[in-house]
This record gives sequence, structure tokens and C-alpha cells, in this order.
Amino acid sequence: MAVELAEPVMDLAILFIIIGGLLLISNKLSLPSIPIFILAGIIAGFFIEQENIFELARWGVAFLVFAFGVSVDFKEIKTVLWESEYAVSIQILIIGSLCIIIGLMLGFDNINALYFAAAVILSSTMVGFKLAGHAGKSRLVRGRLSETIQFTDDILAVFLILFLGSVSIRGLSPIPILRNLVIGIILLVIAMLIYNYGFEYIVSLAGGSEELSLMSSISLLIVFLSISEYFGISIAVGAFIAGLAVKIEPVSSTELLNGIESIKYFFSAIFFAMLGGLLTIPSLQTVLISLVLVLLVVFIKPLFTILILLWEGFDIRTSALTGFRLNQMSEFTLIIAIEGFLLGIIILELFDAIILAVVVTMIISSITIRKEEQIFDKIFKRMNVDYPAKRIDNKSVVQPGLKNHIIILGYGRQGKKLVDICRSKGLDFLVIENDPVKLEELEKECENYVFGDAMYDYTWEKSSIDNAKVVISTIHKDIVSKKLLEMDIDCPVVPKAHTMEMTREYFEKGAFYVNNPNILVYRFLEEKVNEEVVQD
Amino acid sequence: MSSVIAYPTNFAIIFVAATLVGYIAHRLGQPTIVSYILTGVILGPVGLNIVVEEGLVEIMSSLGLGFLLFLLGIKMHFDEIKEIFRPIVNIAGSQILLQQSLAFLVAYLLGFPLWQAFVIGLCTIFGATPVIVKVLTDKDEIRTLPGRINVGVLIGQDIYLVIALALLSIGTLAEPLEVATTVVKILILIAAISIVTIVSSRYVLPKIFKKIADNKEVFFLFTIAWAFLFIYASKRLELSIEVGAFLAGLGLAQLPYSRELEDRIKPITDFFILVFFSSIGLRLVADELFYYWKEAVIASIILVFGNFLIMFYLIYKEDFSVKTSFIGSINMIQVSEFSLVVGALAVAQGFIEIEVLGYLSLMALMTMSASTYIIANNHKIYERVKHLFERLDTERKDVDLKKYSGHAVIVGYDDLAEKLVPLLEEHFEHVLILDNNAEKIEKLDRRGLDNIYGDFRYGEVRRALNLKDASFVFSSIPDIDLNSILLDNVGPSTKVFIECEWEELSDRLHEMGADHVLLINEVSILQLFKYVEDHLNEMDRKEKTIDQEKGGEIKDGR
Repeated sequence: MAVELAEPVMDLAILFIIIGGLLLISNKLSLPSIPIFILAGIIAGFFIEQENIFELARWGVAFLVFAFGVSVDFKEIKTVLWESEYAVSIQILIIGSLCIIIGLMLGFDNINALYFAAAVILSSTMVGFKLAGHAGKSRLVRGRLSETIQFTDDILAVFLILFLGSVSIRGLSPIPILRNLVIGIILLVIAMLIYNYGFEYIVSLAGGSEELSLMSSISLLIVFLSISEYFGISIAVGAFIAGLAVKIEPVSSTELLNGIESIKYFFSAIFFAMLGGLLTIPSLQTVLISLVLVLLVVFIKPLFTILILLWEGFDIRTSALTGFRLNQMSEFTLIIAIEGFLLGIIILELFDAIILAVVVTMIISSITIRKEEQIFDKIFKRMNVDYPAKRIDNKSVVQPGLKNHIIILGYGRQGKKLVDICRSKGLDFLVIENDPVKLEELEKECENYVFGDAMYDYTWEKSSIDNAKVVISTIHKDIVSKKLLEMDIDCPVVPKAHTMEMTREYFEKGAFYVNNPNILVYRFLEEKVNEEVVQD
Repeated sequence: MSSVIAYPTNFAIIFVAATLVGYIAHRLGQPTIVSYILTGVILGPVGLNIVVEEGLVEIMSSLGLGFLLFLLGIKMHFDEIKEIFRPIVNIAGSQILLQQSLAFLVAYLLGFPLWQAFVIGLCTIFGATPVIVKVLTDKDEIRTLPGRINVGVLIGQDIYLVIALALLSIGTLAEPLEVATTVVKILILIAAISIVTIVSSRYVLPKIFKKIADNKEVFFLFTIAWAFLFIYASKRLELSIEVGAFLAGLGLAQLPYSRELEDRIKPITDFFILVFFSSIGLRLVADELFYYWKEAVIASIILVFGNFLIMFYLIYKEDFSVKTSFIGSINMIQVSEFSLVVGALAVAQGFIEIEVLGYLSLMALMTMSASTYIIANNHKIYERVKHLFERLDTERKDVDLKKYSGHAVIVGYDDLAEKLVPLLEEHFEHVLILDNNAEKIEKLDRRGLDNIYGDFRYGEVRRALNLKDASFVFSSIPDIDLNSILLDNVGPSTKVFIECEWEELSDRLHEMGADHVLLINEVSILQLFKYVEDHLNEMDRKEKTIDQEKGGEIKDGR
């Protein structure tokens, strides 16, 4: 009888009450949520029967990965896979091999060492986004880079799950792996077909009923889950592919996205809590493994990433800050861990260690991402500041004897517009930009440009700022604006600001003018409004 | 080798089947709830008999009911019915009595024993809140006067429902004294929980929600935790979870975030509710369902007309117009799915036989199916039959929502809009601002600016803005489809300014009728350049003057 309360619901109630309480506290401290869920699971473990929420937890995995799959566009995967930075492949190879060796040294067998390595190399898009508080895509180079890397990691993770799922206690053998791969590909093809031809039709049949759209998406998920289940593939893979099949139209599907998201929040919280509940009191070995994992993820992985990016041609600042953002472990790591655990493949100590390491690294990461600039300054201030000079020289083009030019900081939409205006008025200009993606454009379209980070003095030296007429910034980052204002130069400076407070602050600090789009547009708007109203 | 365990197929089958049936039902204009029950009937013993109610299905089922009532609680915006509070109380109270009596009478006359007839009466009273609310919301009529009367009466019934469930869960009616003490205990407990709800709603919740409003996940999970807190507490106090969930929702209903909350809780409620209603269908067995089919048909017909007349009379008596009374009543002519909930409980407690639940189910199914069509066409039907009511006083006019005219509207209160307000206040008598960010709304409240907290996506919200009578509209919404809707909804003489980031969209917006499209980047850079150039020239001129003066000094040999 539905009106009788099933015991599991009471257990669920206790769990969520604990989660609710902890979230209130953690929100004050701006901590990420996953460690909180795990903690809640540990606490709740004393009061509830784990088995009761087990089935619900499984749906947590399914919805977590499903939601991820939904947010991914087929096109994105292709772009990323074809144009991926070398960084990712090399990162995986080098760090992965290193980790396998370390794992073997710690006494794991091959399989466990593999899981160990997987745990380290996967960073997470989902976590990264949450921590950085991004609502959309990052506009700064380092943000874009770290997103690309994390995203590729996530796709890799899905493959890993598929692959590792075919592993058994007996070890690796080609036939199950191939079989799984083939089934995975077949599912992918089905999903692509649905994405291209089926999904819109299904949604149109729903005739605007959000409820039905949502239910059909979930039915789709269930169908894929059944198929995966039937063929013995991990449900995470099935869920991911099901998510890919869901086509999201940005406008009309916000309801659908919200719905999937809400359901995901509910079930995934239960999943993470369950992991917490499964933890046992850590043995010395567990703590040791955990420590090694944390060190690898927080220090070694970023270090290698930074080196690789430097080698690729990014400047130290971008490389370092990108590297910093990868200092966490992924939710996928947890999924891989639980699967390995339930299949009896990985040892208990490794399982516990992974969960502990995830909690620790996520918390560390949430702190470092807020203070990334300070950390960078502390570490690299003492390092050679001339280091970038050669790079800047190599990639910049400045006409000799350039003077009375307008320096344009940033070659985005605003920057390009400024260039157009300058050109139309026959004025000399120089563009400063540090995103390698824009290098080609700069070469083609600008007579003078400096490829460097605005925070380096040399960038300005190279830009001949002492001879410039004015500097106009299109980058609204406070440190850049402050740098502009603090430099000891005669040249008038126009920093960019988006708020009134910042605008006022910059004026007080000596800005010649402030590029505040809101104010500027307002002046324009004011004119037009007065015109229109007077007409009536 | 399967990975994270084989997941239960019963749930999977129910879900997919219910979705399919839901699609078919939707095409036929039926509410999804009916289709879910039907799915349960098809899959269960009455039909194919391939699914059983077990484990996961039971859990989801319980959650479904709990969340449904939680959602119901959240939707109770008392301020909306404040103006019509007194009439509502009269209507609701009388309606409960009259309808219950009618249902009782019908059942008794159809041959049910006295006691069973009484319980049947108890069960058949409720209007189907989800159906009514959903259909009316879809038609954007929930904020109209008849809509609000419906909501108000439904609120009254829901409170009654909750108490009824609490009462029924007492158990067998042994001695009157025992019953009485239990009733009192229940009422006291409900009162106690209500006090907790009201107090937290006033003092605790607003502070908490303000802090977590920006983090979607925390916002959502805290809401869930809140619901579970009450569910747990009420179960511990031996009240039903429905009471707890409902009161939890009530506490949240008065917060400014309630619409946001509804948005977030609805999907997961839909998810569980599917299982809940399917499992009701699952529980029915064929002979049980159709045992009293003749009686069910007769009762349905009588009750539909009877309830309509009762409601009409009651509403009309409160001095509302004929049209309001008609529409208000015709929206309420169905037996609610809650009758099945109460009925199921009654069966469990041994008050009635399971065949009676079948009778109730049939009535619910029939009346719900019929009523969806009727509600969807309520105005058309009124036009057809209004001549029948001519002799009644049709002079009464009802005052509806206050509406502005010739006003300025700002959709989306960003920095630019903020600067725009003083300018608009100079030119227009009323400036109405819409935003869906709670902090901004608070700022607006503090500044004494007319505002609406809501999302432009919703028809109700747009109606409140009364775009077609506005003189001026400023939109900072980035979404082109929403802007397109905006342009569709404005009047022919409304001036529309749209803030836009992308050049590519600017043409489209102009085509759709925007008077001015503010290309932020372009405009700002042009202005910037102009100002910088001017200032630089100014600076140059000043320097030249100083140089000339200095030069003059030097020339003079100083």
C-alpha cells in the first residue's frame, strides 16, 4: 500500500535530512557538494540500512552520466577529438604510464594498477564547471584549455568504463574487449540515428507537454539501460550514449534540461552518499594509497600538464593556471571505482583510497581555483621574468619606429571593432593578444601585434607603450586593469569595467577613461529613447 | 558480466509503457494521470499481468504521493486568494458538506450499505487538483478570477483531504472515546506542525533560501531535505506522510522563491507520480474494477451534474457574476484521483471492500476523462448555454487583476536597465520591471519600484505585464525566441528596445518588429572611440595652449 510508509523511504528521509543540514554549512564555506554527499553517507551509515537505498543509488549513476551525455553535443566530440590539444594525449600517456608504474610499485596487480592510473588521469568537466562557477563557456584562454582537456578526459572515461567493464578477475583478454567495443559502437550508431531523425519527432509528438518530453527522454534512457544490461555492458556507458541521443534545442528544451538536471541532483546525491556509506575505517595501506593519489593529482598531474603546455607554445601564466585547474579527480573516477569494486576486481583498500582521495582533491581544488592568481604569483614571482621575452619576440610583429599608435588590448569582438575604426580613420594601431588560436588572424589582419600576456612588463615594452597615444583595453579582468593603471607610463589608459564601482575605482586610480559598455550603451539609449518619446 | 547490478525490470516496463500510453492519451486530450492509471490497469492483473508492485516500484510510489502533496503545498499562495478569502471559506466549507452528502445519498440509493456509503461520500468529494491546476495553467487561466476561486476551493479540499487521511489512518473505529482522543491528538499535532511551518516560513526559511538561491543544486536538495524532514517527523508522530509533505510545502509557498521551487520540484514529482498512479492501476483486479460498473456509470452522471449545480449555486451566492460562477463550477466536476488514495487507505483499514475501490476508480476515470474536454472548452460551452441563465442577474461584473496601460515595461533588470529606469520614470507614469533573480527583486522592492518576480517564459507572467497596452518595452533577454514572443505580444504602438550581443541576430530582431536593437559591443565601442578621441583632442589642445604660453615665456627671455 502506497500509504504505508516503506522503510526505505524513512531511510531516504534520514539521508536527505543529513544532506540538507550539511549543505547549509558547506554552502557558507563554498565547498563542493560531492564530498558533502559522501560525508553524509558516512554519517547516515550509522542510522540506516544501506541496502534500502542501493537501487536508488544505481539510478544515480545512470542519471549522472545521462545528464552528462545530454549536455554533450555530437559535433563537440568530433571537434574535440580531431582538434584536441596534444596536451591531452601526451598527458594521458606520460602520466598514465607513470601511474601504472607507481601502482605496480605499491604492490598492485596489473588490473589494480590500471584502475589506479585511471583514477589519477581523469579530471572532470562537471566538477570543474561547478567549482569555477561558470554558467557558460570560458572566454579566457586558460578556461577554454582546461575545459577542452577535461572534456576529452570525460569522453576517455566513458571508453575506459567500457573497456574496464570487460575485464574480469582472470585478467584482460581481447575477445570481451572487442565485443564490448562493438556493442558500444552499435549503440552509438543507434543513438546517432535517434539524434538526427528520431528525437525531434518524439518531442513534437509530445505536443508541448514538458512532462511527456521528460518522460520520453527517461524512457529512452531506460531502453538503452536495458540493452546495455542485456549485453553485460556497464549501465554508465548505456546512460551516456542515451544522453547523446537526446537533442537539445537551446530555447525550447530548457524545461527538459531543468527536469533532467533536477532528477539527476536527486539520484546522484544518493549515489555519492552510498559510496560514503560503503567506506570502511581506513587502514594504513588505504591512507598511504590515498596520499599517493592526492600527491599525484594535486602536484604531479598539474606539473606535467604545465610542462606540456609550455612545450606547445603557451606562455607560463596560461600554462600554469590551466594546470592548476586540473588538480582534481573526476566523478567518473568514482563510477569506475564502484564498478571495479562490485565486480570484485579492485581491492578494498584501493576503493576506499580512491573515494578518500576524491573527497580531498575536490575540496583542495575548490579552494585553489578561487585563489589561482595568488598561488601563481607566489610560486612564479621568483622565477625568471624574462623567460617569456623570447617567446613574445618570436611571435610578435611590430613595425620599427612605431609611435603615436593606439594600443588595443584583446582581439575579441570589441578589439576587432576598434581595429576597424582605426583602420577606417587611418590611425596606427597595435594589438596585444595571448590566445594562440588567434595568431593566424593577427598575422593576416594586423600590421602590428604583440603576442603576450598583459601582465608582463615586457609585453608593454615590446608594444612601444612609451610612444603610444592611448591604450584601450577590451579585457574585463580586474588584475589586468589594475596592472594598466599601476604601470609607470605617461600614456593614457582606458581599462574595461562592467560595474559602476569598478568604473569609479578606475577613474580614481587615474584612468583616462573607462570602457564600461553599459554606460556607453546607455548614453546611446538615452538619445534614442528621448527621440522616440518626443515623437509621440 | 553486468556492472552495477541488474536493475529491476518492473519499474522499467511500467515507466516506458506509461510514457507510451501517455502519448496516446495526450493526443486524445486526456490528462496524463488517467493514462498512468490505465497503464497500471493494462499491465496489471486486469490486463496483461506482466508487472508486479515490488521494491523499487513501492518506494517510488510512496515518494510520488509524498512529493505530489509537497508540490501541492508549495502552490498554495495565500496572498492570491486573500482578496477572496472569505467567500472561499464559505464556498469550500459548504461544498464539502453538500457534495459529500450528495455522494453519500447516491451511493446509499444505489444499494451500498450505510457505512460504506458514508466512506464513499468521504472519498468522492475531491476535485482533481492536478488536473484542474494543470489544464488551467496550460490555458493561462489560473490567475483569472474563476481560476483563483477554483484554486481556493481546492486548497480547502486539500486541507480536508489531509485531515481525512490522518483520520483514516487511525485504524478501526473501536470505541468513540478512543476515536475522539485520537482525533484530538491528530488535530493538535497538525496544529503544532503548522506552527513550526509558519514560524520557519516567516523567520528561518527566507534567510536560508537567500543564501542558497544561487546554487541550483543546493537550492534543490535543501528543498527536498525540508520535505523529508517533515515527512519523517509526521511519520514518527504517527500522522501520514501526506500531511507532513503538505505542510512542508506550505512553509515554502509564501517565499518569493516558490515559483522557482515549483519549477524544480515538478519534474521529479512527475517522475515518481507516474509510478504512483500506475501502481494504483496495478492493484486493481478485473472483477474488482468492474464489479459495480453500472452503479459507477449512474453515479458519475448524477455527481457530475450535481456537483456542477452545487458549485454554481455556492459561487453565485457569494455575489460573483454568472460567467465566473459558471466557469468556476464547470472546472470542478470530476472525481479526484485522491479519492483513489483515500479509498486505497480505506480498503487497507478495512472500512470498505476492494470492489468499492473499483467503483471509485471507474468513477474517477470516467469523470476525469470527460472533464478534461469540458475544462479545455469551458468558455465555448459557456457561450452556448449562457442564454439559459439570462434570467439571473447578469449585470454583475467582476473585477479582475489590476492592469496598467500606457506603461513602460522592463524585461530583465540588468545594469543597463537600472540606468534606464530614472529616464523612463520621467516619461511614463508607471514603470513595471520583470526579473527572475531574487536579489534583484529585493533591490527593486527597496527602491520602491514596481516589479514582478517571475520568468518571462511563463504565459501567466507575460499576462501580468500586459504588454499589448504598454507604450515602451525594454528587453535585456538574450534569448531570441523569447524576444520573438515578446514582439508578438506587444501592441501596435509599443516601442520596443532590445539589448543584443550578436550582430547576426540584430537583423532578425528588426524583421520581427523591434524598433531599436542595441548591439552592445558595436555601440559601446563606437561611443568609446568617440569619447576617447574627443578627450585626446581636448588634451592635445590644452597641451598646445600650454606650450604656446611657455613658448611665449621663453621668447620673452624668461
